[in-house]
Amino acid sequence: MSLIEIKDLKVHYPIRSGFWNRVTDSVRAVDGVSFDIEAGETYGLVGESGSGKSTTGKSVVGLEKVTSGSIMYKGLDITKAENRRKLDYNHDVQMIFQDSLSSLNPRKRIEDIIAEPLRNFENLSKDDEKLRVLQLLNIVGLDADALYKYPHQFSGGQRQRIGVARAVATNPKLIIADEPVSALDLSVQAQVLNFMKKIQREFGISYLFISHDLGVVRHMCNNIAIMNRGRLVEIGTRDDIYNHPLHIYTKRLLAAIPETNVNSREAHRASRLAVEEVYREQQSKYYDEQGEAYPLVQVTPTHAVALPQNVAQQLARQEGEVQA
Amino acid sequence: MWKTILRRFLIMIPEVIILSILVFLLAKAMPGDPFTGSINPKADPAQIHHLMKINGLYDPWYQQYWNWVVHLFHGNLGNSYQYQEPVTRLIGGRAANTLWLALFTMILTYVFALPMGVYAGRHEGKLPDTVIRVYTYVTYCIPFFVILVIGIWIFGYVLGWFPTTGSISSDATGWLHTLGSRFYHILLPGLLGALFGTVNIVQYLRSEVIDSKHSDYVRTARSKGVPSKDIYRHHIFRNSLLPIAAFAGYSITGLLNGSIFTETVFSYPGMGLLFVNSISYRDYTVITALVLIYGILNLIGTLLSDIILSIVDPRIRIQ
Amino acid sequence: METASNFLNIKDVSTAFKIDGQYYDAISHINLQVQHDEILAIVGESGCGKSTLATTIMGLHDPAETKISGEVDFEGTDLLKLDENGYNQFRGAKIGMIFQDPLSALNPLKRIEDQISEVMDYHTDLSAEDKHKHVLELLDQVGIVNPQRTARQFPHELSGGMRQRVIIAIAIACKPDLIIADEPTTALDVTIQAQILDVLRDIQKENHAGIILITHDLGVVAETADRVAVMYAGQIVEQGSVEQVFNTPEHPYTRSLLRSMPQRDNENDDLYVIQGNVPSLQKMPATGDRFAPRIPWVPAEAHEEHPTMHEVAPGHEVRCTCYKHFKFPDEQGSVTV
Repeated sequence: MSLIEIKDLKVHYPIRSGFWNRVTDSVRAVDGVSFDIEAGETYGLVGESGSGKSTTGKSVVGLEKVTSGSIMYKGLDITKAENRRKLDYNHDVQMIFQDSLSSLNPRKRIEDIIAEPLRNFENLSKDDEKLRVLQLLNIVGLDADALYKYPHQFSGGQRQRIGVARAVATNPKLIIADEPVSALDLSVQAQVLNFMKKIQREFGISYLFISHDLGVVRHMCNNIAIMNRGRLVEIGTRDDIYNHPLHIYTKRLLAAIPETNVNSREAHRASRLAVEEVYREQQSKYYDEQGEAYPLVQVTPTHAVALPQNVAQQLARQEGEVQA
Repeated sequence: MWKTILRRFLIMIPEVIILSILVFLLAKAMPGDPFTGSINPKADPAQIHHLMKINGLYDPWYQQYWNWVVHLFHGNLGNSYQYQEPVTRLIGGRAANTLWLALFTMILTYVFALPMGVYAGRHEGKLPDTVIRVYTYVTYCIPFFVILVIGIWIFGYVLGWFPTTGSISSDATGWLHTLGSRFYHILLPGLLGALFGTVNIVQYLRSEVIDSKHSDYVRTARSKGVPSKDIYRHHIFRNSLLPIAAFAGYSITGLLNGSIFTETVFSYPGMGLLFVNSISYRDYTVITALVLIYGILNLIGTLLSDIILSIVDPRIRIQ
Repeated sequence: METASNFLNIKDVSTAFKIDGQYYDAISHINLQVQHDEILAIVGESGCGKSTLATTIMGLHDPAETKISGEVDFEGTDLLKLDENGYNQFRGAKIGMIFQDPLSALNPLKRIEDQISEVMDYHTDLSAEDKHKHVLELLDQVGIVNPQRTARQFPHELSGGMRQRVIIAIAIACKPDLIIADEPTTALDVTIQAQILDVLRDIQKENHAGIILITHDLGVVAETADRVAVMYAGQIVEQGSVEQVFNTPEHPYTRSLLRSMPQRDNENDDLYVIQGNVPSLQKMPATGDRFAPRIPWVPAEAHEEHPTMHEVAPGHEVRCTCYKHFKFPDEQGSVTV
């Protein structure tokens, strides 16, 4: 059984308009998203801004009011607040945010920031609590003198590691990481990514890794879902997505990643423009009449794409993948 | 645009109804009854009982409220106990005085505050900025009525430049003379009110200008080669004035509230003075009416602010 | 490098900021040249001084808070000697600048058309009608589908990509010789980023402008630039053609950066982490190699006391001699001098 199962998740926001300000329509931020996260894996959720990936992440932590659908954890649907309470859900599931400065209370010392989830969920004595905070700081590679400092006294990478320390304080099973490294410099990003992998190996944590950066996702994730305008357009293993992409949107994203290989840049550019050409001209093949993504169909046991069955089969054959 | 304003206006209706119920219940909760003062103290209690019955004072509160509202719409707010005349006429005579003073104060406030705020922001940290900031801090620290008392003492008594009481001199004849005399009487209270009112606007505007000065769009304008005086004219002013403009509606109601001090100190016959007098004489009908009027003016001020904001800020124009 | 075609010559430029009454160099002794028809990328991490260099060229610093020395020779004029009025003849007309955050870089209360035509108000004698026509042409040139409509809109009504196109339209309105693009795509999605970079490249070809592209993204540099200057702690540590810098990087910092990027072939390994932190402005050492503390296994003798640029190939320069001996800790024989 998977650690967490997200089924047909929908988050719609009402649009009010007209004289009486009635609900006339809704923004379908998340519109029927389903995927499972296994224990100990890093699941990548990729999309551009406005794709609904962050909303999905927030729904999984219970920060978003879900319109419909279910998120099953230990046999209970945690979209309901009473189930979250019953399971002590936020003890098991924590979140790391993109902006480490604004997500850490500027007036609290690091000791209090990291100890906060412990105080909420565990009854530790003062000494035990301090010991635990020191252990956590040690895990994220910060000295003990960090205890009495304030967030602004740290660099971006250190703050992000403090955010991670806070998230792992309660020994969670799952951490939702929403763009955890996009605000960081390359060298600091490497530090945080290595560190996230390290604690995963040591504590068996699962991640839902939300990012727009396909390079980072490739480095971190075993299974990946590509999100486009509230729906998933493709799900697969790293190999499926990066080496056999089927949906035009996935291909487009992949083609747009800038590559550091200077020698093939003209070829890379040409292939990107070719993909853009297909994207412009074959909208009707990849999206339905309303311009929405189709429901997902399975092409291999690991790989699913949001296309009509026959189109998916045909593309899969071209890519050399066969229905198992 | 008009739709939005109309809708905002319609939203005001329930607000006014709730306000009037609160005011009505407040009046009901006050001790005494309307006849206690106007009837011979030796009158038969049974007779008073009868009078109260025919005047509907034993009806349930919503019935009484309804009657009160009907009277309200006929312009009948009852009689003042202290002055023995209809409240409507009593207030009507003073409302104009208060509005004149408030309007004048507001114009002066903006005439002083806008250049000061912009100048201080533009020359941040320089001598004129320091002077303006010291002025705002000092004025901010002194309570309003102290400013009024000091002002009236210096300019009214010591220097004798301005009259210290009333809204018009008793010997004023002819419309020109009357107008002049009225203006002469509101000059000092208006100036002192403005002196006090500028503080918030100056401080706010100053920090807005400083923020805009360092904003990205001003940097863009500089990189276009726009000379700095034009950057102030075309970019910084309008953007900094935005919150001030939005504040204008509220500041009207602020002035009306301030009129209570000004009018009392200057014995200026307006609604504020009437309010203070009515409280000391426990003239409930007048108090109720004034509370209602002040409440409605507050709501209108808020509405005005919303409308102004939606005019000056394109981001709010969306439905 | 032949200097004849260099229309921008940055010579020994340092910019110091006042912090608590003292001046500290944010960039020190920068030497760079830009030619027509080329994209020079300046790449480095936050705090390396790359944006300071841009704002120094544009003269956007408050003279009371900064001390600038050196020479910025732009087509024979030393920009650093100009007063505000003199600078305004260049800004917008001969030098256009593109900023990072396209939302805050546009005035929220002005229509797009007014914001674009404002440049022309100060640098051209065009009639109102011609300006309007030119605004529409510009919007079309930067790839906006419905110029008529966009011209009338306010910034908040546009998407991030559209806003960045508008910023580019402003920058190129007077056909400048030099365009400085400071992180033009950082706030945008990858697909939009690719489009914006295409637009920049097309404009450069059409206008024969020289572009200074400032970015932290090595991928963007590799795909867009002709030449590259890598900055670390306020100094240029390596510069050369894009092929030289990416195919045969020499400076330890350049090599470390490239190695810390997630790549196709290091999926399952840990990424390379550069030890330590960038020193803050106040703690910048006066002498020695500024990158030395971050590669402590390289012996002190390998560094120069006053590191200078060394030419390793025609047009390819590297700061400090330590590059000759540099090896990563996991490579063979990394401790020899």
